[in-house]
Amino acid sequence: MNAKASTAMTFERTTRYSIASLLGAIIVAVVRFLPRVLTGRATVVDRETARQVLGFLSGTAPASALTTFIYGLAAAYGVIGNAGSAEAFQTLVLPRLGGAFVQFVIPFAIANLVVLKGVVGLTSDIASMRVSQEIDALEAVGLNPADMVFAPRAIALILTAPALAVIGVYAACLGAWLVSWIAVGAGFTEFISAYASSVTSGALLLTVTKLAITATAMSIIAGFFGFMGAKAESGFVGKITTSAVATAVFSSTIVNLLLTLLTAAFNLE
Amino acid sequence: MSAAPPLSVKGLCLGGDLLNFDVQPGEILAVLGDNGSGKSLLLAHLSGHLRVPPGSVRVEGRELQTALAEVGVVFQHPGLIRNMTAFENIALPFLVHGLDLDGALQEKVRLRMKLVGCGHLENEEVHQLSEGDKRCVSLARALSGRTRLLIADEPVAALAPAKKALVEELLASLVKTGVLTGMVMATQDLDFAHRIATHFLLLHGRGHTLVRREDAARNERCQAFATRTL
Repeated sequence: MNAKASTAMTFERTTRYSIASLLGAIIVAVVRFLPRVLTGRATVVDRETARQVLGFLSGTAPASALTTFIYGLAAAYGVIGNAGSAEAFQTLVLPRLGGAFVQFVIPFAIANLVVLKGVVGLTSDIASMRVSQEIDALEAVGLNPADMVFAPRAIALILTAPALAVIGVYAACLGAWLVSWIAVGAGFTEFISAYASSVTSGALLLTVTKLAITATAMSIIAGFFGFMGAKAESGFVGKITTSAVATAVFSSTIVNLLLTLLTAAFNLE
Repeated sequence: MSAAPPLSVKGLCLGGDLLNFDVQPGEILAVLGDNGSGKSLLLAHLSGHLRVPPGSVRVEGRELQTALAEVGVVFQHPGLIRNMTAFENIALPFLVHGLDLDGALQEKVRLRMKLVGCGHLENEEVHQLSEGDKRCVSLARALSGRTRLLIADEPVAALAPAKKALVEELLASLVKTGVLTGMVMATQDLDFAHRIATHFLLLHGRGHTLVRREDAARNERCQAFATRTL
């Protein structure tokens, strides 16, 4: 392909797959998806969206549960060691443990999973579809790949991340209880009761919202790299995916920092 | 019938060469050339994937970008959408004006599947298909929607002889009967090109040769290319 052709193609892709266009595709798809599914008028795109949600959830839930379980183990081990005594742990630390998990541990663990599985999956899917000319084929028949390919995968990421957070809260609780039981003989019922008392619905809602926003940002980054990454047509899918993940890891930290500052500024915590 | 030709190319820059040609109603133009001569690049221009000024591509007198719905494209790779069945892939052009298929549209999709000989593949996931079947599904998709002009990159590559003959006959009859106003195809298969095409466009280096099929035998460049290829 000559240089002029390549420049023209890049320009067209830049406008069609800009960050604003990708965000617009997500919003439009979300607005249309739920009413159509609820009224039994699901379309090809809706079925693809449902398939992506189920696929992402089933593929990530076990890893999410295991990761947050281990985070729970490690965090509880750390705080029990520093609490000084079993009484101090049970009276001072345990009532705050759930809140700390929901506020700090779970968003971090789930955001990492979303970055690793979601961004890698989405970017490599789209980039490899460019290699096999699937994206070209959609454009040729007049359909927008951002609606047909990107939006279903992005919605899967955005809906699944908060669900994984809820799974993570319980898995981390189990991990923390296991360590507490071994170290200080904490009973299951009392532990759960004390843990749950510090998990307010407000804190959980805040975490779920944070993760949904993070997942939205991650999916847009993944989509942008997938559609726009240079040399996808030449087969450089791995290189594009690596660049997307590096950007997503950095952006995830920035997004989390901004959200934390915002929630602190508005006293939402 | 529109007086303007089905396809008109003016001043299209391809590797330093300027291309000017028309495809008239009922004509099939075979684009020939060695590997890397620019066949796929030319087809990318004609299918609206690349827009490089100066130069214009017009379909029945209209700018290509406003007539894309009437241009069916068979890509070098089949380009079938993963996670979808063969039927869903062929239905894609019908989804442009709404995301669901009513009974009449479903029948149109089935008719196209039968025409290219892949009616039995309706519920097959595309990743399970052979290369030849993928090529047939890709062709059926290109013929869906409101296609009037077909741009095809190696339309019979990987097809078994019987399927190839079927597709060849289908394409020739679609153009002959006016269902398709014209067709441009890139191919390395000279026998196929000679049987179906009315004109040859041979791309070579920084130049090109455009001849009618009847005149190809007397053209030195065409003869040299045929000798080299065969």
